[in-house]
Amino acid sequence: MIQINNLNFGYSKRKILFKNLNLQLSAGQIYGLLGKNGAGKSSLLKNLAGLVYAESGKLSVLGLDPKKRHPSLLEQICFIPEEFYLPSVKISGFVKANAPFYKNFNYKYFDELIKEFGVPTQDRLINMSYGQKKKFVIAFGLATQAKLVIMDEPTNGLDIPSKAQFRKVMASALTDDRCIIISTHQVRDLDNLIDTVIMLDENDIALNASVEEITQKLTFKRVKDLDNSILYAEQSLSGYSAVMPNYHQEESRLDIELLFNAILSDKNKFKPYFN
Amino acid sequence: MEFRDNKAIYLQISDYVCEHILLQKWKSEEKMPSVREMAVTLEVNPNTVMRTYELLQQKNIIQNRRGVGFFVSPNAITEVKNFRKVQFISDDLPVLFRNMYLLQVDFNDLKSRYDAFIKENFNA
Amino acid sequence: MNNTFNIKRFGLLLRRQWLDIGNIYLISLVVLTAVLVGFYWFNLPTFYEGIPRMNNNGTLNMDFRYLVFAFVGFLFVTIEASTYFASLGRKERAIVDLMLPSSTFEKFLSGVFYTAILSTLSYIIIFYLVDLSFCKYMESISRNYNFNYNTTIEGQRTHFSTFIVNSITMEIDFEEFWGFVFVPMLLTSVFLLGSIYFKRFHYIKTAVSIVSFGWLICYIVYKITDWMTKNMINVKGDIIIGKDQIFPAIFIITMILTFAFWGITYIRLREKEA
Repeated sequence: MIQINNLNFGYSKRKILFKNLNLQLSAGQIYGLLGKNGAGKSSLLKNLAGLVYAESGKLSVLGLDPKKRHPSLLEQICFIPEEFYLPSVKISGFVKANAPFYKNFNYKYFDELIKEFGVPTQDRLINMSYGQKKKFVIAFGLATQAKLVIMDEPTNGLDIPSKAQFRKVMASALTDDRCIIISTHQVRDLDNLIDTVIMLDENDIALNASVEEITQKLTFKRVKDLDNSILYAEQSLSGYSAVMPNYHQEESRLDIELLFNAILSDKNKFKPYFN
Repeated sequence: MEFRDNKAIYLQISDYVCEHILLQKWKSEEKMPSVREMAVTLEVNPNTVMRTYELLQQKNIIQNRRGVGFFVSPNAITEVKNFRKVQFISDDLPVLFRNMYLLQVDFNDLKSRYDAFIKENFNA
Repeated sequence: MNNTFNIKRFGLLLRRQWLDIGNIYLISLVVLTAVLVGFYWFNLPTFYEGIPRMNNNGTLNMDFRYLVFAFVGFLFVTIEASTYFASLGRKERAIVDLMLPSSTFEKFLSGVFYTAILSTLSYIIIFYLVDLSFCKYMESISRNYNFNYNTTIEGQRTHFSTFIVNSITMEIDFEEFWGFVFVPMLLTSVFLLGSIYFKRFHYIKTAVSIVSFGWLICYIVYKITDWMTKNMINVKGDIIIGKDQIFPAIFIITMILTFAFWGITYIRLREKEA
């Protein structure tokens, strides 16, 4: 669905974000995009949406170049930024003005989502709280039935019940022909939703592996003592949370936060395990 | 459902399904919740649920009827018990034995406690 | 579906833009009307101090309105134009506008429609209506006054009580002004470009740029018209010298400049990042 070859991108000559970046994303998956602040998560997402232009490299989304901003592609992209603008209209007014641009827009599904999220329909969008606005934007975006769903920090600003609703909605939104990319710092909000972990670090993809592949190769567990087999460990209440090679085919649960810190501490240590 | 943090999610879902079958909440030959329904209920990725269903299908606990969905196998309870027994022996017993050894728990003491527990909880 | 232009999608875009900016637009029309009414009110000829100034053809002199028309018109169309793409200067708004499934060309055309066509037309209509109502008003109040006026050499006094007040459209000879058709287009095209070119303070920055560019343009226009009228002698003695050459020149130059500014605007829009 998405093919990135040798992408070079930066906001200026001195501030290079991606250097010869390669990435392939396919439909039917939820990708979790991780990275430190400033690693370029939002920039990568914007490249995919055609909101910013790379210096060089090839980028193809659903067979089209997002840079050209063809309506037929824009219609298939649901882009939910972290900060967004909504006009001073009610939900019905917004839908009336914008939904007709998406020929697959599902009005019934939209109403269901709005109801499920509990977004007030009589208020003007501009007067809603950040969380309500966000839920509205997510509901509208998903109702467009876009094939590519891009979300930048979607759980930011959502209260605890809304986060649970969000997970349910996303679980049902994943279809075989849809590719969902979610960038997040709030890993714990989403870790059971993520199929594949993509980590950005130092101008490149530091990791791109499915949860299944990661847990096949690495095991995550609590240990009392450190030994040589441990790749990375963090002190916890009862000993250490550790990452180690999966010698005994153990079926552990992926701890994304631990993996994130582990890879940041020493990227090269983990390279041999993947690809 | 609360997920524990040490076991793969798809296995925890498998436990959840097995529990439902053992408790007869889902009876033999009945239709299972679809992958999507299950994913929504548990707030997990549908692909993870699919992995669980494939595992349970392999273990003959559930059956896939093309175009209709997943059904609980006719002899699911026996299959669950077999499956769980294997899991118990390979996963849980070593931990128990290790603790018994470390804490020097007497085997006979364990047996009487086991009997009392069964009497109290299951009236057997 | 065509990825460059589709009439149905363009219609949807115009409708969406209207739902977005319509309210503010209507308010701006109300303000415009109030401003015009104000200018007329304070500049109207008065009757109680005697006979007001008259034109050669015996109609009431309302010449102040040409200046009002040009001044207010300039402000109105340029302010409207300089706000159209201003939202693209803010990242959150730019994302919404750029991600809307409509082609860049349609988004650009919508800008041209709202600035060059709609605001110019609505200005002309509102100005015409304000002018017409004041003309009628003047005619009606003039009936309350009786003026004695020397009309004959013998000193006979005639008195009359009704003025003819021509509306502005009746005073202008449109045949002579077709050369200026592209002037409002040019103004809006420059400010439309300014609205996408600058991130903040669009109006001021565009105005400053215009002044500097304006000198350049005036210079070019002057040079060209000078060159075209070189070696020609004004034989008719008209007030407008060589208008047969100047009007086409103004027409062509303003048209070319307008399309040039629109072209740059389109390219800027295509290259806009968020």
